[in-house]
Amino acid sequence: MRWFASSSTDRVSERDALGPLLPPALLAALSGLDLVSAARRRRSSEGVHPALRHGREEEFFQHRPYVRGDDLRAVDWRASARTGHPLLKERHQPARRPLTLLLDTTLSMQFPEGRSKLRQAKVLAAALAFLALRRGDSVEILVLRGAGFERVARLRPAPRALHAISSVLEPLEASGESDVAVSLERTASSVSRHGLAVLLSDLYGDEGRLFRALSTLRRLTEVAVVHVLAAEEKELPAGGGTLRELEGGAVVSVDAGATRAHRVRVAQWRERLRGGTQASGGEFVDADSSEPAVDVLTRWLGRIP
Amino acid sequence: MIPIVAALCAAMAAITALHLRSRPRGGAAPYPSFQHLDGLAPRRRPAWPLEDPVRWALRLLSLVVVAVALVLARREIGKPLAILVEPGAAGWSAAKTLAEESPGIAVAMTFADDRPEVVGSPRSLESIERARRTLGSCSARYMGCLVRAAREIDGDALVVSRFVERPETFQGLRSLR
Repeated sequence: MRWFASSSTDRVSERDALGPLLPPALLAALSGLDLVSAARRRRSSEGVHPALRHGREEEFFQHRPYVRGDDLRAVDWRASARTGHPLLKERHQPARRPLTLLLDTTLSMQFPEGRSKLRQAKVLAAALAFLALRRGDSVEILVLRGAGFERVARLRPAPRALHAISSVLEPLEASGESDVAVSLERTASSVSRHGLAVLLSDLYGDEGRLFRALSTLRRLTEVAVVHVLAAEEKELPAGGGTLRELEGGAVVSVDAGATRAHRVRVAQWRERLRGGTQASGGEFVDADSSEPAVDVLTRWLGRIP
Repeated sequence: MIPIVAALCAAMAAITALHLRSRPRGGAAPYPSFQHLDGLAPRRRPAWPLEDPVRWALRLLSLVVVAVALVLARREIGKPLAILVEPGAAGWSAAKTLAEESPGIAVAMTFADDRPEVVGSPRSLESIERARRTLGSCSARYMGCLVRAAREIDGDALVVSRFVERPETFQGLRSLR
């Protein structure tokens, strides 16, 4: 396969202290994974990328009886001779499935220290971009900053795809404050159609608006939501303490009682997010910031939804 | 003058604001969002861009007062005094002493033998030069030239004269005494 690349950003890759986004071990692990749609995973015996329409090109799909007006060139004469009825040969139209990555880079993602949620989201985004480019699909990367989602790159299969992915994603840093739901509402109608849109975020914001935005998005494309959280967010320190909000800067003191109630609330919130995303027609994927990215991807792409 | 004072105040406001700006507190651990802490936390306060706005306002006020006082004091000291002595009037030596011993800008001027005579305090060198130049190139009557020189250095005027001149001659003088 011949690879071509293009990127709207031309920045030099800056590898942070945590190493490259796509280390050789992860690339090796990705060789066993494929970015197939949820529908395709449900029908694992069929070919890749189910076509939304069938045509005359590429793979054989099925025979069907000839009806007046059909193109005679599509008649399978051998099959017709065998059955005694004129039969048409239908084939799949090969479909491209552009990948749209919606990456949350607001300040809340810069948590915890070290391997942050943003780092995890970037690694997952890089891996997904790599999988898409490997199979010949284009990749569009949109980044959520203070003002909303902005397009930072459009990648196409190319010989230096790995470099292109890294040069776009590695320099991204957390900045700004934004409600992911509000921003997604504004962006939902402009993503590439008939593809896959993956939202990588901690999903803080208005749940109702998020689900409405996901429903809008789902009408255009397949949707997956990767909910990136840190263990420290699921459970506060048992004894409580004083916390400073990364987005907004408010300071709050929590005691042991608030810590317990917070744990319950977060668990309920995650369940609501899962249920709401699935009800909106999207896939929901949990990703802990400290978890190896390949585990997240295997759990997601290896499962039958 | 007002734009300078305003700019000075703005600069001081910025400096004090920088000095008192909110900084991460040592004891507070960063946390992504309080979305699930609403109603649970016993104490919550909004994050001001300044640590203590009252302290900032008081500090700023005191600095503004000091700055305004300095500007006003400088204005008072810096206001030039022009002593115009009519040629032949008796007060020239007194005017000369007054100008030379003045702490601020003070210039005494007259004509002696048709030639301009200008003396002043040590801080008035520039004003003396300007007055001398004006008087040297002036072709009006003596008092008219002295008034013109006083206007040129933009000073309060102290006139020693018999006032035989027409009153219009003294028009345009600031704080005529």
